[in-house]
Formats: sequence, structure tokens, C-alpha cells
Amino acid sequence: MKDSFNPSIEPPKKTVTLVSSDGYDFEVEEEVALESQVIKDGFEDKAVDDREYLLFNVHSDTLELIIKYCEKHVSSRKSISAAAASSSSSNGEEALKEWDEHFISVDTNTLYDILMAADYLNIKSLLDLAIQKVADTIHGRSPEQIRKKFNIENDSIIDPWASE
Amino acid sequence: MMGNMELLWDELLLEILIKVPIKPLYRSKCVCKRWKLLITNPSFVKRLDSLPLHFTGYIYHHRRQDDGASFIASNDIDYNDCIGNFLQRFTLVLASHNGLLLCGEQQETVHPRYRYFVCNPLTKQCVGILGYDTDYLAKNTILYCYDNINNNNNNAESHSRQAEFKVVYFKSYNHSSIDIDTYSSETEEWRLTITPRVFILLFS
Repeated sequence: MKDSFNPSIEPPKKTVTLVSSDGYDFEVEEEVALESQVIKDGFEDKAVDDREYLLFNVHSDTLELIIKYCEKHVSSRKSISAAAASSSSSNGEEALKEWDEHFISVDTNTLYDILMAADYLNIKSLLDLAIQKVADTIHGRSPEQIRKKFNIENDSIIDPWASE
Repeated sequence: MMGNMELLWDELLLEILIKVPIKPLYRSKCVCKRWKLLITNPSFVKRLDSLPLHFTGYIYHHRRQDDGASFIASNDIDYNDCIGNFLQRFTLVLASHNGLLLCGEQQETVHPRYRYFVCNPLTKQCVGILGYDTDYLAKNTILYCYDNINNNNNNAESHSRQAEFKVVYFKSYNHSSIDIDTYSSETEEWRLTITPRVFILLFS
């Protein structure tokens, strides 16, 4: 495909292929993929027609969620800045926060997967969101409940009266 | 295996724990050994924004001086782990301000001699005070602490909160003047101020 420099024609959206650990291809828009700092860092060095990323640590189920998150954030950012430019009032930030809250309200296993993937891909805002969510889960739970929730083995209490 | 906290590396777990408010955080020490090690690690404690500079409670000196003292918290935070290490035998808490304690530690010699230091029980940091090695300071001493974070340039390791302090020792007074010795943690020196007594009365 030839790059078009004719301003009157909308250039085709550039895409990047992300491959999940279980071998699924996800074709996403460039700017969505660039939400990941890791992808961004190596982006310029890669040839335009070789923009495929093998994400060995991210399962397709998680990758789907991550892409959903990035797409939402890219589009919201655009509409927020558009609203700011036309100085019309917008509750875009507020709505995005709400969307984030809803997005991260998942079961513990999924939350883990998002957390690990956000860390691996270095998506700062998503990592912060996931970290805050785990912290909130810890807050308000007793140590016993935390162990149960996060599947942690209790190795801290040595009970002298225990028979074994 | 999914959903196992043990898969999280320390850095990530620390980023999570640092977001937990202080009360549930201290309670979470009992979750497992790893959490306890991470939460009580001094370098982690120093990073806590929610670390209360003002912790509330009472210092209780045992009747026999050489039994040391205990801290009785007036809220349900368990400070014993951090404070217990400081209030050992022969330690007197002479003054406190903003969460720092001015302590005198009796040296085990024939004549009681004290070594003075200011400590932050939560970060387990101690700063020795030089210049007085007798029991003079035990009376008429005020500790004044202030946060120097705003005064200095903010980029210089904002995570290491080093509180500045002054120790004000009312050395002696007579009809005409009061001698005040002031120790500053910045200069690490004592400075004697002789103040006319009238002046003090005006502001007392």
C-alpha cells in the first residue's frame, strides 16, 4: 500500500497486529496500540509493514479487555479535547471515570490478569486503575478474608498448640 | 495458575500496598510473612504518604525507671511493633511533638549519664543529639518539630521525609534573664540565647 500525501483524501487508518499468548491476532489502530509504552518505545524502529507484536504474557481474553480499554481512552480523549476546543461544557472526564470504574469491576482472576498485562505492556493509567482496585479490595477486609480472596497461604502464625 | 498473589513481584505488590490506608495496612501485616516483611520494611514505611505524623496516645513510664516506658495508643492502630523497639530499658521519653520523640537513654555507668536522641518511631530513624551527656536535659525541655518538605526544593527525594526539629532547653534563669539553649537538627549545634526575663513574661 502506498502512503498518500493528498490531503483531500482521508488516509486509511494505520493498524498494528497484536498476537496473544494463545496465538490470536488482534488488528488494532496504531494510536490504540501506542497507549502501551512498551509498544511505543520500539515503534519507530519497526518497519511500517512489520508492525506485529507477539505478546507472550497476555492471553486473548485479557488482550480483548485491554484493547477495549485503550480504544475507549483514545476516543474519550479526542472527544474531551474537541469539547474543550469548542468550549462547550462536557462531562467527558466524569463519564470516563465512571466507565473505568465499571470496566475494572471484575472478578479477582480477571483483575490479576489485567494488572499483570498492564504492567507488562506498561499502560500507566490502566495499571494505576488496577492497582487502586486491588488496594480497595484489601481495604476493608480482615487478614483472613484477604488470604481467601487472593489465594494466599497463611504462613505467619505458628500455633504452639497445634498438634501438627 | 491464575489469581495467585504470589505471582506478583514485590515492586507491583508494593505499589498496591502503598495505596492502602494506614489502618488496614497495619492490620494486613498478619496476612503472610511476605506481606509483613514488605510492610514493615523501613524504606517502604518512609514512602507512606498516609503515615500519620501525629499519632495519638500516651507514653507511660513504668514506676521503676529502668523498666522503660510503653506507648498506649488511643486509637486501635497497633504501634507496638514500631515503638516497642525504641522504648527499651533505660529509655526515657522527655518530650514529643508531631510524632517525634525526644528520648534519653541511660548509659549503664555508676553515675547516670544520658545519651539523647530524637526518633521517629514509625520510620525507625534516630538522630543523636550531641553536646549534653548528663541528665540536664531531663527537665525543662521542649521538642519542636517541623516538616521541611515545603521549605526545601521538592525534587530532592520527596519520598524521604526527614523531619527537622529543634530542641529548646530552658537552661537557667535568674531575676534578669533566662538562658535558653536551642539545638537545631539543621546545624547540629546548640545555640545559647540569653533572653531578658521581662520579654518572656510579656509572652507567657
